[in-house]
Amino acid sequence: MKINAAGVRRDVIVIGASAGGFEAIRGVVSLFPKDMPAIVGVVLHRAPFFKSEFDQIMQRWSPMSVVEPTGPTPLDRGTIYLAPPDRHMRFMGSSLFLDRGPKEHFTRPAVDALFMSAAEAFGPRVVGVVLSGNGSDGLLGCLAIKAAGGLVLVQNPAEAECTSMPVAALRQDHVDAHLDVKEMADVLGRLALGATVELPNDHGK
Amino acid sequence: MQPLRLSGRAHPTAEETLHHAEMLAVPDLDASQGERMTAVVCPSCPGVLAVVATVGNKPSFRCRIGHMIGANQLLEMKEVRLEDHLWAAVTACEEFAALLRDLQAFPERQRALLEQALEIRALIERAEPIQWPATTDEASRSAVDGPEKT
Repeated sequence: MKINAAGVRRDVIVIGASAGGFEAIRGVVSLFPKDMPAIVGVVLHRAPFFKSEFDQIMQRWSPMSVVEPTGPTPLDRGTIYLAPPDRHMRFMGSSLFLDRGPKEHFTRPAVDALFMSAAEAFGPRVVGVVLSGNGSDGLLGCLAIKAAGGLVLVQNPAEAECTSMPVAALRQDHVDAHLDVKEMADVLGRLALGATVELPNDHGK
Repeated sequence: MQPLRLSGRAHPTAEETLHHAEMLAVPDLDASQGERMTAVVCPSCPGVLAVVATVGNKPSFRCRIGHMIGANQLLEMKEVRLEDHLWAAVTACEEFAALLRDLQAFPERQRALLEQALEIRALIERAEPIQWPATTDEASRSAVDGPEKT
């Protein structure tokens, strides 16, 4: 099976994860090349009232530079932006913005907030990635990304620690492929360059 | 602090307000001689909390039916509750305004309600809730972090 047959440059990557997502994120970002030519946004559901060092932990994993923004920030390729606790992170124009808008799916930051805003701001350039997690946060965001011409990848449910988030996306029949975590970085890197990616047929629905 | 007599005013005077604010939410942290009642509502039910134990200087609370909660998490739950209540106020304003619009009644009131709702939304947006510092203890950090990548 082929994804991105049209050869579009997919250089805006948005990643959503919840329970069991810590290790999954590690698996993805640690294999990104240092000069990854993409903007990367990450939402991990986490406790709102704790100052976290997850950005520093992620920086030790990934050769890309990792930023946990504290306010409006212009988006640069080669950087991973991590949504801080208790704030939604949204892409608008060529910047990101933080807000304390209503929780979505009982959580802030929410995956849907990032995914929907990315779809609106960047259209077909967006690849949404749903990793391990319970519940269905990310589902509507994935639909928005697809509707705007982007791509959606999910973690192989057979591998994910918590399967509902990837499975919720898969059930809607709009996912381009499901991948093991160790395959993600390579595929995303090639999509960011606008390559068509050939995958084994069992990576489809 | 002297007890105040009740006044006949519509609103408490500044002095009365101050008196109320100075009243202790948790009058007694020492639970060694039995539970000590507080004036704090349980985050999980309408009951009030008692201090049931104090370890170090951190009290643990329990309500009548048995919800147990530590001091730190009580503060967190109060943050959650506060935000929920502010959203409830937004709902009350916006739903009422929509009702007035649909019934074509009191347009001035409808506008005022929508403005109030925006003000409360802005309050929520500006809030900076408590945030516990990240753990700086090396042992507990490495338990989360795992081995350095090679």
